[in-house]
Amino acid sequence: MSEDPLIATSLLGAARLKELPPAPDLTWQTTWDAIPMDDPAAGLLQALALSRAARLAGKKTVEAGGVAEPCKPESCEELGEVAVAALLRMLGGEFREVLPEWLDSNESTGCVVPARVLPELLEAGRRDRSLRASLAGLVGERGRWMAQRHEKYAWVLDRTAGGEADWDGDHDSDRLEWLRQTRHQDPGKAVAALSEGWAGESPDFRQSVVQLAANEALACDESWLENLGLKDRRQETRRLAAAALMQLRDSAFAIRNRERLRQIVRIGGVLRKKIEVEPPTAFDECWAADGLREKPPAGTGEKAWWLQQIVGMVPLSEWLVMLEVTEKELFKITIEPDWKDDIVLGWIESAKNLPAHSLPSGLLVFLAELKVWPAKAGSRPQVLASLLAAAPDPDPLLEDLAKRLPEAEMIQLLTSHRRAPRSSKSLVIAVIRKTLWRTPVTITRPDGRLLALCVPLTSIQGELEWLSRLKELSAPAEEFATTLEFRRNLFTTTTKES
Amino acid sequence: MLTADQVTAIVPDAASLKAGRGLATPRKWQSLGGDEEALWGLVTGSGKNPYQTRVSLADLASKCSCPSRKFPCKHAIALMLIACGEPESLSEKTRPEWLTEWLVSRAERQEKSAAKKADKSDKPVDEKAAAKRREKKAARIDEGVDLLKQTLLDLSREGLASPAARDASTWENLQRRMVDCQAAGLAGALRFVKEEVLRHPQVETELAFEVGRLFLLCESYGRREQMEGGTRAEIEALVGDGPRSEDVKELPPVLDDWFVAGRRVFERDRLVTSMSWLLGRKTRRWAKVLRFAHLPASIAEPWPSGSTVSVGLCFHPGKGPVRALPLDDGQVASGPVPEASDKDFDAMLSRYSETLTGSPFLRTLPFLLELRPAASAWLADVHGRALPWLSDEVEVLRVESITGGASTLACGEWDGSSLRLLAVADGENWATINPRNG
Repeated sequence: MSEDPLIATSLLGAARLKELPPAPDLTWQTTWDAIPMDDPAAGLLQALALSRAARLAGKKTVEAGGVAEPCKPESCEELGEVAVAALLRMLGGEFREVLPEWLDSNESTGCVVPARVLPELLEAGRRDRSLRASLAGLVGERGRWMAQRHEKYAWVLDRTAGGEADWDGDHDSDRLEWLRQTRHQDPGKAVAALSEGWAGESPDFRQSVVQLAANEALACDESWLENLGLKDRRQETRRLAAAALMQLRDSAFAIRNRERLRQIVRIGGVLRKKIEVEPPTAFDECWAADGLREKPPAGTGEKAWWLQQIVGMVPLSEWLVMLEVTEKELFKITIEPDWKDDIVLGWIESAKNLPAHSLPSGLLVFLAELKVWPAKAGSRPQVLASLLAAAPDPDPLLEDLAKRLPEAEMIQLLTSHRRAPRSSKSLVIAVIRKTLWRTPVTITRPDGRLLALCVPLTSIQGELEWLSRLKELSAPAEEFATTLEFRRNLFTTTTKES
Repeated sequence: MLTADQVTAIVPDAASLKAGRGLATPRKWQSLGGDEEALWGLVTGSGKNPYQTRVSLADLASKCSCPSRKFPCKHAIALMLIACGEPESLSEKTRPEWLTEWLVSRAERQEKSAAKKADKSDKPVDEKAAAKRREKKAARIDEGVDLLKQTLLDLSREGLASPAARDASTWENLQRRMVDCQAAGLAGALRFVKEEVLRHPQVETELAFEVGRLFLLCESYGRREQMEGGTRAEIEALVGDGPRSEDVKELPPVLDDWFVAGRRVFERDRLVTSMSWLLGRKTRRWAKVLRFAHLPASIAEPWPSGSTVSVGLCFHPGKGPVRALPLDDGQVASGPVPEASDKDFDAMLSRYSETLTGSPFLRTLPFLLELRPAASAWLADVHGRALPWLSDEVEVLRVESITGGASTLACGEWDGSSLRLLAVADGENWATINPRNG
């Protein structure tokens, strides 16, 4: 029941009402007293009308609370209208495939979005973690200001280094920046700071730190990686720590791994043209500390499982040293058939861990030409795509693969690779044309959109002209064409604007 | 010059816009043409013959031979989008027959309806019969007012806690009776009770006040003869259906450069209403301009929010910020945002209570003043005084993003208990907040 006596009366009704409750305000007293009460129902209604007017006219402002310090002015240039409109469409789900390419291309310009579209951008980042790193660079001062006000956008602050390298700061980005610098300048200090607070750090931050080391391992990292990183609770962090340690050729970890491998693999045969394998017969307890797992997944034998892991933990380049062969020879040597699949699985694992040391071109050709593909490795195009993604210069490798892979697999590889070669004379385009031309169609509509990402910007016009000469476009070819058009409009107009 | 914003403003729904964008590439069209007045094109569809799509640029009306029941259809949307983005691809300049035919038939239709109107006004008015009709109508409205008054008195006696007072059907039945009695204004007020008041979180207080307001309106209507012109006209408009447009257009127009400060678009019973608040740069007067369309048609708004229109407006009689009818589409230009209507919230509140004295049934008052977002659901003026803000999360984020916490000119409405924002200055632009609201 309302506290206002007049409202309370109105709820009960005027049937037994003798007189009105007191006026809401002394200033209204005279008018209040003038309300005739010969019909209490009418009197009550009049009093209500009067009370309403009194409330409306008497509303007062209050002292404002929670007024934030206004945002600093933006120093970066704003994106053009066309680019903003396209970005919003992509974030809304149209031509979503093109978004990573656009984000990459925009990174170098350093432009930020106009403030009015920030809500869409921040929401997109909140929903999709994978976009956060790129979006954080687009939000500008205003976006950081918003992130300070709204907890749900805190990821912006963690990803935009304020340029302040500060280990004691609040934001992960500042702390990582400090670490990045200090590791080179004063390794001892960096390692001491890390080791001291390791247990208190968040799992995400620990993973980011180990990732930093995995990108570029330094000699100073060995002790903390071995003592803390390899023992982390998170599996991904342990895997990254192992990958980082593998890069340190002289680390005890790398030496132990090489030693394990040396005991089970050797070159043999009459002409030294065969890799002989003698897998371990028992699991050594101390292997577990290096991240090896004893229990195999369903469908894999114990010995094979241990063998795969041991191979996977040694950089492929070590094989050349160990077997005293050249890269060319290594991939030509016959592998003992019983264990060939496991060696190949181990090589793939090793290459994934250490893309820089994985002899990608030789390995990729070897994998592309492998007659019997080990099913446990997953699909071949996907494995090749993941190795390509980590390669510093994928273009020549892609050309090489276009020559060797069957068309269907090459198309699958391209739909995972999603990046255009630089040269417009690429074989990739020939493969795509062949597929689009084929009837009946062998690819899906999403495939059509993804393939459009593999056409270099300079070739888009030519491809569209080629398509316009086709009599009829299949649905995937239609998707291919619209995506190409979208890319053309997006990238050519954006450059025009800037 | 057609802009993409104009096109997106008239699309029937998001799906049509998406489909239209998909078709907005010359590759999908067999032919494309355009001139000063019209756009046309042939597009391949699922039918045997290509669809003939045509758009008249004057009012963005369109016609297409496709079977779609959306209006405009995706083909017309695509054609307009092509005209915005790639006008050079409208290469054909000779109008096809099917376009000319359509334009001619449209022109004929318009002429006919204008002639019909002129015919009507030319007809000698039978003064006697008209007076009789007016009398009859007034009697019916009186009947409705009496009926409503009696019902309100009954509710007052029984108490507003009674099931009848809280039952939406009570109010709906009353609304229907008011429609029968030609009391359109009262019918609208009763719909407001049913749709807004009964759903209000503080329904006890709001319902009591609203019932009081309605009762006072009925009482005042009975005593309107004793009131002065402006107040009386307002009361009559709130009860009946307001003055006739022809009569309003007879009044002397107010010429000014009107700043299109805020706009709300809402749909009710398949009637789309676009309500714009205009502020005269010289007269400093507020005007409410309404445009309507029946679904599936949409409103082609000639005045973008934030633009300035030189036009004569004929105001409905009344004292508060009242409805006005534009003489024509006027001259649209861009210009800076005019000076604020109030220096701060306190000034706006006193303007509100002053307006209330003359127009006691006033609901909302438009404002244009500098403000910034404060703690959640509050807005603060330049002096750090705050009023509650009726908003949702999306709106709060948008306003915070645009203002960045700095005081910014904004347009909105005050209804006596909370503010509602319609547009806010965004650098050089005038950004609409949540345009499809209401």
